[in-house]
Amino acid sequence: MNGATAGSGPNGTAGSGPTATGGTTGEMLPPDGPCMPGIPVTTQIPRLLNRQYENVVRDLLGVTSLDGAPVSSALIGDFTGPMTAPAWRIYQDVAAKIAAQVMSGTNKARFITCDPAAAGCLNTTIQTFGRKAFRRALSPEEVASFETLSKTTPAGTPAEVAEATLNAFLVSPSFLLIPELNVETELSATTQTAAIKLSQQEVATRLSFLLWGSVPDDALNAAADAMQLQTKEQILAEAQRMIQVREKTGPLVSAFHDEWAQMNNSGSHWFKIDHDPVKFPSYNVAAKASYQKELDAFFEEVAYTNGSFQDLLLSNVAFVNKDNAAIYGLDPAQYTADLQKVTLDAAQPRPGFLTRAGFLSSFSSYDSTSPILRGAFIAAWLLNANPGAPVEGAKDAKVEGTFATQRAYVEALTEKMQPCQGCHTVVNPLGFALENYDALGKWQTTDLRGGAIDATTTTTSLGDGTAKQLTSPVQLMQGIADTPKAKELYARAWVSYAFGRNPNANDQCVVDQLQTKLTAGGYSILTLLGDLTQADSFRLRVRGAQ
Amino acid sequence: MTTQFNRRILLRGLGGAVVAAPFLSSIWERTAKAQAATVPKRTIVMFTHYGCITNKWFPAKLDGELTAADLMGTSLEPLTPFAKKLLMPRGIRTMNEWTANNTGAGHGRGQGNDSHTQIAGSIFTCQPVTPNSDKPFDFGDPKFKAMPVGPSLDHVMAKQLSPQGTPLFMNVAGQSKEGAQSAISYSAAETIFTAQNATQAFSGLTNLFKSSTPMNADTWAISKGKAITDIVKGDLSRLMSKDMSRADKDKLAAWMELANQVGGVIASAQCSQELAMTLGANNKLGTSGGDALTRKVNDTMDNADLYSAIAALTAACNANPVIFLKYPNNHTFSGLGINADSHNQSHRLDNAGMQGPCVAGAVQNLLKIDAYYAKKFANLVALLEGMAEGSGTVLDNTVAVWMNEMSDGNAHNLNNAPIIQAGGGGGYFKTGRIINLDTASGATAQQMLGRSLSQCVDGTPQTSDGVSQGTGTEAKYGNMPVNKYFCNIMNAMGMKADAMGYPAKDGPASEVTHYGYSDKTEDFAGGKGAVAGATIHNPGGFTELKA
Repeated sequence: MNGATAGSGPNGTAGSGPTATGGTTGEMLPPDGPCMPGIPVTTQIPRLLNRQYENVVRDLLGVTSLDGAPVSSALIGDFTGPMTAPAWRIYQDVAAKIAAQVMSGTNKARFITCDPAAAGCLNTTIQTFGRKAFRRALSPEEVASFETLSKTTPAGTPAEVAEATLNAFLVSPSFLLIPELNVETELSATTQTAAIKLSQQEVATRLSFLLWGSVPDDALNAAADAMQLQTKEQILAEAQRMIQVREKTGPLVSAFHDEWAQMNNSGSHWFKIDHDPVKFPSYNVAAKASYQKELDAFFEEVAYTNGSFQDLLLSNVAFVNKDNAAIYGLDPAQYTADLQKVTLDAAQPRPGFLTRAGFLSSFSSYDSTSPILRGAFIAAWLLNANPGAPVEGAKDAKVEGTFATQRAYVEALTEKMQPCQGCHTVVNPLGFALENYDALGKWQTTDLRGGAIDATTTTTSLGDGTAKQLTSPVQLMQGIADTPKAKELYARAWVSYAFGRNPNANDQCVVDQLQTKLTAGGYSILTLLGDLTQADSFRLRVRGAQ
Repeated sequence: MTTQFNRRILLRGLGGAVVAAPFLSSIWERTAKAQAATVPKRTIVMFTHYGCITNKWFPAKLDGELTAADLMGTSLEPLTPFAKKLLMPRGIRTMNEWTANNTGAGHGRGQGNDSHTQIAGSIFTCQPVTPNSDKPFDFGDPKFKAMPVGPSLDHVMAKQLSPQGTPLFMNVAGQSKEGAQSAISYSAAETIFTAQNATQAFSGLTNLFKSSTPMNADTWAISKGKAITDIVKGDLSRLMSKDMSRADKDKLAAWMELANQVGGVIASAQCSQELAMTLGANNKLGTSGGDALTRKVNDTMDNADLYSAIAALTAACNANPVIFLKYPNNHTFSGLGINADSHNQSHRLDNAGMQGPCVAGAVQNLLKIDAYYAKKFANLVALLEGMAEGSGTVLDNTVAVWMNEMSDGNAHNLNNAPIIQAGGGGGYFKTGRIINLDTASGATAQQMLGRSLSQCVDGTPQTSDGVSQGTGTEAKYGNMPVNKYFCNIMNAMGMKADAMGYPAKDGPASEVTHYGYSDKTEDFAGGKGAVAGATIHNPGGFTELKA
């Protein structure tokens, strides 16, 4: 850190850098650390993420697949940094395919509703579609630029020109990027210095990408054009309208929670393992297809039933079909292939997403439970519990004997000596508390090794850090929900995901505010989502050095 | 379909083979370039994680002629048909080794970040990673996200050699987003380069296939393409005229340069749909059974082979002379009957630790994986060897190398690196030889087999200990720097260098002698700038490897 104290140094420059003129310019993003009020420097030309590109072509043109696969899978994986040759080639290829698909199918009217041979048709189409694709009105110069497609030598037929026009929109930088070009300034309330004010259309674009991961709808575009997104209150009102469009915000809520739960982390264990059909004769490979879908449905449902952070960890709601029913102790014959919402009863406690089949099965071994994998996930990703460095000077770890339970084996393996003890006395109890769920996720009271399951443990990693005895999974989940660090990590993840940037000292102020609200209780996920639009950095920006 | 590996496909000379491509959405036009007259060369690197069982990987011979007999009984047995075209450089180490003693400058053999993050970041960059850590066992987050402070070899080479300026980089299990713990391709400091999948890579080649009818420049397709490019350039110009940071303007300028590019690929005359079919190259990955690598595409190919076929087609089409095939980290080879994570197996454990009781069957499983990789490399080599080119084969004009993340996976040691090369790079390299480059250490052939079988095998301790590096090769053996080998490869490809000998597109020097931050792994300790005098201590390529 540069030694800046909180509250000093506008815009994260903290005394460094020659370009801190006024408040509208700054150095790079201030490094991660305690809250330093200010608006972080942002790029003015972020590029659409692949998940956003996919939503945009669906919302604008009704395109939901390309060559039988999701559109995003055709694109080069997300990266920041300048355009590369392969990525540019792929964008062009995909744009040409989408244009051909749209013009030859039932979605054609999403782009053009008149006869391209008729006078004025293309001109109107360019302006109407362009308003939506570029998230702002096109200038006369831009319209003329698109009209050159009808003036080539040799010329295309009117239908070919129409397809080429759509193709051109889909490869335009103003489509692939989300430019923020307004130059007016405004005084930032938090830093009392000037920052650059986003235009109304730019605010609308930020709203729709934050809440829907896609372009504004007609209502939002109209609100922008009518200058109705100027104050924080106006923005919040519009955000609340948009949040209630569940079919658009729901998938974003699920996608966020997948990210928070490390499902996008290629090093994680999610959905990677099968189980031994000899030791687990009831293992149903078909259930795998339901794992992620169930979790996505769970996250969305918790949010849309006014749930809060702790409900993610405690809700008894599950989504059940004939393939995963047996895991939850339900009769498969009562279910179809489609997932349906079920409230699981307390006889076999099922608090939250960590007791759903997807997590329990993924964080197990092929032929046994793995309290280490489950415990390490909770410790590392939910609690940020750093076990500390193990003592050096390893001795041979010997584990002899037979063990009645997996827990006994793991204790003998990892808790008897250093260097293993240091980490494992932190990690293991969190996993032992889940030992009543076997490697498939089914409730068990007898271990595969023959002994009775003992899931009672003691941990100092939860809540206020004092020792707690856990006698049920519900207590474990309540403990996680009560841990300040868990709430902070959740808030941080939301801020990073929503604003599309790494944790930094400026955004930490927003994280702190959200954490305070999460701690007070009764703070629903959807309210949190709306509150993300209330930060100064949502309406104002700071430009990097020139 | 063994016949396809034996069939020779004659590639006619490049002269006059300027083919006008259908102007699809690609902005590349076909122009004849002076280089068309020279023999094409290409470099293909296959990269795998977690080391190998060195005692079975290396042949018993440390130096001398490499014969089929030398490979029999080793993990490299699938390569026996190609012995005469192989080169095994021995005694090399890669940079920035992780050990328990890496506590800062002057200690250990590199940075104290993580035994995978820093190795992956440094192996092809020969640069330290940032942020630095001096705490080898700490679990603090940033050290696992540390990235190198310079670009990787594939990009350094592609900047000079590839028409696109970027390599063809493919993740063979289709893994789309690798993080700093496993990524090896960096287009610039701290900038991971994203891979193309089979569909994307193959579509880049179909644009090059020779069309049966000559293209008329006066078509709607071409005029449309030009007009769309002009629209894009107009949009970029308008954006560039706005008030914006330097960094943002540079990004727009880079895009503008791509839009302006007219120089392109000179596809070889036989670059065609028929060649693709003969090689088995297409985008039809297998979708059921096995795992992402072993899923079958047809009777003789799995998904990994399909990526190799795309690499071979890219080579034969001269679409890109720099091709990297990266195998995945944390892979479960269920198609080989191994239902455990490949990283854990490399530690002979059933978890991601570094010490503990050996899990049953670990060494057998690792040998299976080594054999699988060797078969994949052999299949790639066979495809290249099966295409005639000039007076020899495509393989003769290729440098195809299988490089591993480390030597022994449990010890994560980087000395005595397992490297096997096929193809002489157009006569630059000796072939049919094993060459010991670290004669000064006095290591015997036995010592250079390493000690991978010293734990977790019948008659040895049944405890795996990665911290002690007991399963690695003794640290004093096999330490000649990989930087020199990379110089050999760059020189085989005809790259230019600046006055200091570092790669530079416009020369003036015609030989690369310097690559990376340092060629001593100890110089990496503490991160960039921590060790005074960190430099290239031993410039130049290995003369012993040159023909």
